[in-house]
Amino acid sequence: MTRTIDELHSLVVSGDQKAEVQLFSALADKFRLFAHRRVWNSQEAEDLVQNALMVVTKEYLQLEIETSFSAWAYKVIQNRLLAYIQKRRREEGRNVPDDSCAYLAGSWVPDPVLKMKLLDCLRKVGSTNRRYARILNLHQIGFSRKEVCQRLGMHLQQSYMVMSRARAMLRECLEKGDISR
Amino acid sequence: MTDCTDKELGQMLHDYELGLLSEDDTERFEMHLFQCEHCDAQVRDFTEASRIMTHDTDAKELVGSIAGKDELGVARQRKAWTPFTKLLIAAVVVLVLAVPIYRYWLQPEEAAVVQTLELLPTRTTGSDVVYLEKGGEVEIIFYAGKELRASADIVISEFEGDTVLVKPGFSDFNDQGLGTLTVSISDFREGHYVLTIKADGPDTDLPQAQYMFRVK
Repeated sequence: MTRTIDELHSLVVSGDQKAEVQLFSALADKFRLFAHRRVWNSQEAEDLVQNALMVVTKEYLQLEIETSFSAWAYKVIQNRLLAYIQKRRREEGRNVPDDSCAYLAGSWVPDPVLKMKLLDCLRKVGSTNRRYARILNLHQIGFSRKEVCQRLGMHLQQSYMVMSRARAMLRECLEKGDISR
Repeated sequence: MTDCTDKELGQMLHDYELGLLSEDDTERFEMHLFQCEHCDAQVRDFTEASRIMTHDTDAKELVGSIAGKDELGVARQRKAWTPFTKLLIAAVVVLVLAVPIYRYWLQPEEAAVVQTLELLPTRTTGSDVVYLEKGGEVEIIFYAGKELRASADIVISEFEGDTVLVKPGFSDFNDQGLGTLTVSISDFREGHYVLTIKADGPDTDLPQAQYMFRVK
């Protein structure tokens, strides 16, 4: 079974050198996941990942970590991502959302095959699970989740369940081409 | 594949993928991704589909058309709240609020005529009542002694009522023993007031003098 980052960190601290390679490999993997989600330019995302890894490499053995290693490491990458987005926002002089680099979406071209399949599946899932389509649409319009729940008369947890079920249906549809009703 | 290590957070998976979580929940979920192989794999697996759902116009339009007419009115209502509309409304509100403030600012200029209350020795024994207009400032000129060396305390009280103003240690007298004190009576109610000057020292002509005035 794969060890968690905190488990690997504990091994490294106790002197396991093999674990150090595994730790940084796993950490790079996580950092890439977060960075690529927010920064769609692969080169810039990779620069941020490498920069964050350098900081971790320099500091992680000297540091007295109060919470957990993973929480600290997460802050390292998160701070870099936020600083990057703020910098881009200043440069571009327009409203770039904190959580995404949507301004890079202009150069992004979706995989046409996946897009066709996904649109077909979205149509199927949305027709079966109407509340899912309504949640998504209300978010697109600009409502917060709290407002969406009020409007649809459901609890927050219920809305997460609707989303989870719909996602499972979407996945099934993408894999099999249809959903089981 | 392993199961999710935290079902509660695991339910937020799709919201996270579509960027629908609050900043705090995004942080919580990403911390969860450090521990949960299951969710990590799911997010990676769905990355491209998530991007299409969040940024592709066709996908957004499709969702809108499925959600149908339920949200049509809502959309129109929401779209009306564009940044420009908000700015326009804010400007109108500021203007509406600013007009009374602007007038209020002007008013003191117009109403701040300094009234003069001369409390000279001729009045010390008289029963004259000086009338003052409510609001603005009053310049009180009083005579305290030819060779005043000490200071005076000035107290204004409602007639048979509470003290409304105390100016202790006033010592700004000219060579003739005349003191000039400016006080604001903006907060004074209509009615009679007694002004008392208590001057220290043996050389003052007015160790204590009282004057009455009326605010109307």
